[in-house]
Amino acid sequence: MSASQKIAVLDGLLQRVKTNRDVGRVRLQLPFEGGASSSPQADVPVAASTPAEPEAVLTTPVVPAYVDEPVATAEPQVLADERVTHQAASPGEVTIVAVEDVEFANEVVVSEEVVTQPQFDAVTEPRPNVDVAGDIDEPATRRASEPEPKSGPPPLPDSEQKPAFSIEDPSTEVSMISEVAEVTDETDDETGDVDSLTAEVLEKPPTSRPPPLPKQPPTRPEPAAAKPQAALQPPPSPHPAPMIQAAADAGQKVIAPTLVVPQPLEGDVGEFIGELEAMLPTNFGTAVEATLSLEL
Amino acid sequence: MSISAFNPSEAVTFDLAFGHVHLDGAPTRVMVPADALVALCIAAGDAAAANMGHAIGEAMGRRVGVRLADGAASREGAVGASKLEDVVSHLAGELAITGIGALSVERWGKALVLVVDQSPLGQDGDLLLAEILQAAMAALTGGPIRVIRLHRDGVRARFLSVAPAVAEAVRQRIDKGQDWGSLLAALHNKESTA
Repeated sequence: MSASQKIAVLDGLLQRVKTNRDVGRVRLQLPFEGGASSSPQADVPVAASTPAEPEAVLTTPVVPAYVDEPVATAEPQVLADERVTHQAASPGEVTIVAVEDVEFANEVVVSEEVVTQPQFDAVTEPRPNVDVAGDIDEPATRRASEPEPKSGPPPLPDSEQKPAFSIEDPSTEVSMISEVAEVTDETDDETGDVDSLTAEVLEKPPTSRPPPLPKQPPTRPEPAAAKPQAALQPPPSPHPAPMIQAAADAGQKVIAPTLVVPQPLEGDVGEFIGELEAMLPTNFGTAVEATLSLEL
Repeated sequence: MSISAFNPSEAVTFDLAFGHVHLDGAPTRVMVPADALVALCIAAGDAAAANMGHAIGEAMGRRVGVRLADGAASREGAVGASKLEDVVSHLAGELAITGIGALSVERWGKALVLVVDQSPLGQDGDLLLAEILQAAMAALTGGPIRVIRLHRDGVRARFLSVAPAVAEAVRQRIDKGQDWGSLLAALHNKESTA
């Protein structure tokens, strides 16, 4: 075979390769003679191989039988198989693709319900006077490895605790879990990780919500130490600030600041220190000046 | 002078794309476990913990002052003229969205007692908490003020605001075990007999 024939043959092969560029990567089996045959197979990226091939053609002898046995006979089948896999031509041929989709959907379902939903609530759906404190304290956003706050409010009875992704209608919750189980059953043979993940979700007991704080600030107990003298009276029961009361009226479960400013009743002030009567009502500056005037 | 209540809406922004937490009017925050923060403060020492508490509290007080002043010429003057409830409301909101606890105020005669409930910092974090409150009060008033832990009863800690000249004497009495009620009475007795 003359050099021009060799060039023609390899040009044809290169055209084949170019037509399959969209595959991205092809494997060419080029039988070489001599030292070049030590690497009979080589992964040739299309973009890289195209400009390099002509020089190799001129220096490397090609076995004549290669002309009668085009590259496309062996490798293009592999390429075709790969393409079919990604194109999902027919339902019967796309088993792997379908499994991947199911696996992905299953992961989304699990993450939405257990982990990610409350976090995105915090970003996208701020609610006035409610969002920040409430969402931060959602149990789903708290990492399991982090301990509960030591000084939390007293726990409520078990009957008042709700799961993290609380659904008021128990039937809805059951249907959600069964739906996950169905997906798992369909993919048992293909994806063991999905099965284990779903099993973990199903076996894991729902995280309990932290007990909601009382909608109104609790009445402060009067400390015994607060009565050094008979004249020293503890402050009266606190009255909730308007914002807290509004949140309570709306039935919102929020951890709102206990904006309690208990002010002594006028009579108590008279018993405590008579001259303090003039301090009520007062502003912040007056209150600060008063406390800074105290001496020992 | 009517000041709108503290509104935590959109005060905290979780930027999931960048993985940042933004507090309105403040640099980027980092959410860390409270226990780890307290442990770090203990390991760093009182001075370092006080510096950190001062930085946190001063920023809080400044933000509250800006909101309460609402463009007034004198921020301290505007804050001083504000109702006590308004100042406490905004300052408590700042502490709440920071996760430090629930702030309220008690007035025992002339004594202004800051009460923090349910602080995740716990008893070991009282020093840090006192520094935060002290810096916030100083930023609000524009003058020197000391905040000393008066008493802790479970999850409720009381902090007394006093003048710097009295602070050391108050600390000594607390260290000697004097109960906080009698201490408040003593402060007023000196005042009434002066």
